[in-house]
Amino acid sequence: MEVKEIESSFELLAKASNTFDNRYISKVLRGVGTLRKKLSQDKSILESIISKVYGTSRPYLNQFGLINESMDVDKDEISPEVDLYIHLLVQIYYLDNKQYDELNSFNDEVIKLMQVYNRRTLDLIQAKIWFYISRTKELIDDLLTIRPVLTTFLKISSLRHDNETMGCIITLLLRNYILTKDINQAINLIEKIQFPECSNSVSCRYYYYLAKIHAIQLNYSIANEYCITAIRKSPQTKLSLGFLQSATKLNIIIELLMGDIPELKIFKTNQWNFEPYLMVTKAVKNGDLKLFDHAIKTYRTDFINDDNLSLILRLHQNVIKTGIRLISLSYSKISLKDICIKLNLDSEQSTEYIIAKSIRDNVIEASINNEKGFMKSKELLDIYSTKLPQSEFDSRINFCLELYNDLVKSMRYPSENLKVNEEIDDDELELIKALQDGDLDGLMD
Amino acid sequence: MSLQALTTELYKSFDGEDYDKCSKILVPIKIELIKHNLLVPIYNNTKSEEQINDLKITQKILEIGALSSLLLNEYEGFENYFSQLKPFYTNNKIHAKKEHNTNCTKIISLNLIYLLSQGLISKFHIELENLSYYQQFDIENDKYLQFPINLEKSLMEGNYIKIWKLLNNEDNLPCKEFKIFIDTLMNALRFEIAKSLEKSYTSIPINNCKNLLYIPQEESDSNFKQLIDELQMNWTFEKGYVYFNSDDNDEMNVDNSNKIISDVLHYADQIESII
Repeated sequence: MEVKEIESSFELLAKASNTFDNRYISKVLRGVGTLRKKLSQDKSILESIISKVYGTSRPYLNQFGLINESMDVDKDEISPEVDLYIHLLVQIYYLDNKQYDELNSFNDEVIKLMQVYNRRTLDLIQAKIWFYISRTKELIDDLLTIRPVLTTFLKISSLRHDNETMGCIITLLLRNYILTKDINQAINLIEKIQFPECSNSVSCRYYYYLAKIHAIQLNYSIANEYCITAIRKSPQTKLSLGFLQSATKLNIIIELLMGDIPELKIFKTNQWNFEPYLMVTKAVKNGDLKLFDHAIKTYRTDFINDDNLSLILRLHQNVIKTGIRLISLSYSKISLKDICIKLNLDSEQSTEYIIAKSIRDNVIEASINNEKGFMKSKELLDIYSTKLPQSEFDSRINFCLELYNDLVKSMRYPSENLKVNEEIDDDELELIKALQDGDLDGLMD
Repeated sequence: MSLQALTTELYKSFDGEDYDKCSKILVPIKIELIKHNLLVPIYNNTKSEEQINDLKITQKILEIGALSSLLLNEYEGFENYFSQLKPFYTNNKIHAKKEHNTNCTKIISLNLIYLLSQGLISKFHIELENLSYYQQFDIENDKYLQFPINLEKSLMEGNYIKIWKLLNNEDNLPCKEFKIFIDTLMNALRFEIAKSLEKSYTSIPINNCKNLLYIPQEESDSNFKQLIDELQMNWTFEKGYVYFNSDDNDEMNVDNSNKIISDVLHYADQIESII
């Protein structure tokens, strides 16, 4: 049955190659998710497909094609789309069965193959194939050798305007750099490229990596923006839960680093384990240094696994600062000595410096009287007498306007000649219906 | 001269603390190293035991280069040597074992301090992040690496007195090369403090101000003024008090109406296009 399903997708692929319409391909790729489970359990599906399509013409596929060698199939020209699609399926089979070495050598053949083909309709399939190639290298812990290959193909795809492939390769390179912590390289890459328009699942990854890189560089407000974009753009399906989780974690830390406290409801979702992050947030919120050190000690491994430890450690100063802020809010005038005792700081003198620094960083609105040794908080400003509400309002209006413009741009209008040909019209309808079923091309793995 | 002869010469002058000579010898040595394909560790020259030993010698030469350019106050040269050394330090064949309190971590730590003293905090963090990837560095238990990390932490907190104590007592420094940075760090520290003072006080007695900036009381007021001018601060001195001119708050409200008009015009434009 699955064999038939795959064969029917060949028809769609053929249609795509005739009409140059990438939407047929994205429909096929959407089917891969459901197909995947059966495919990886049952080798015979791939075997029969491969022997039907290729016969014995591909020696490296022999592992699959041996059953009916005698069958001399009608050796039509295999269309590139079908060809690469089958390779993608084989990749998935190997990956799910954890045959990484076979997968790795198979990937080399695929890369050779992709160098031969040059068609725009292959864009989407190639993007997926690159994803699996890079994932393989990650699994066999060989991150360095893939870089030159990726950069070469980044060049090729940008020359050919294969947006999806290009976007995918960029995110893969960034991931690669971040995994080996070559942040400088990643920054160089970001500066030199222009990220193309491509599907949400790819671009949300891109924004996530951008957020991460900017956070490391201490550009917290920019990082925060990117992180929110990543969370908003990511498809809301089961497949993308893992991504959403790590993006949310990053977002929590960035908000804390900016001096904001994330909302409690983020932590309340039961499906994820946010316990470590909740503890840290509590410590920062209360300005409690002891609790903070305790949280880091207890959940150290969790933070290392999430690759967030170095960012978390930076929060130490924020804990002190919120402590100061709390004091400045509750007292209008307080002696430095009392602050020193309340916050467990080393000495009165260091308290003075720390408070001066927080005033400079706009954490509190206050002034210090050096001779008499006290801190005096400034009267709270009436926020509505400033132009803050105005600018806030302005940014919201602009957001709405931009959203409207984007929607107008992304709408699809039926072209004239479709009305003439009713047969194609039916096809179109079916396709559009399938696409509307939801943004399912989620994030596998 | 052959490579061997040059290298022994280099070692000798480095031990004799003749750093000018070191930097002179280093130029021909580097050319020789390139001829022997030893300047950069790549896959092809790290295969056999012998090659790795040769590369370790190269590393030592470069380390001498880095240290001597530091001691000559040539920061650019140090940066150069460091970027040449980086591939050695991160190569897991040359540095297979844990690096604990060795020359290697010392130089890395010097580079981190260099970045701090130049105020390049984001580069500092990038470098630190990069180190955490390599197994051979034990960041948390290495006395060299901990030094710049603690320094940065206190700097960000504003706990300047801690830094002051740390810098003022030479016993706290992990090794003598760190002394080079004390002056630059001190100046950077003063600048940071001055910036904070400006925002937190309206006025302060000159003597207290000297105290806060760690300037000795014996220093005459005119010298102090000159120092402040060097920091490019806009302060005024009157009757034994320092007054800080904070005038940034009032400017905010001046050009407001223009902005509102242009915003509203923009909305009108957009609404027109929608209708």
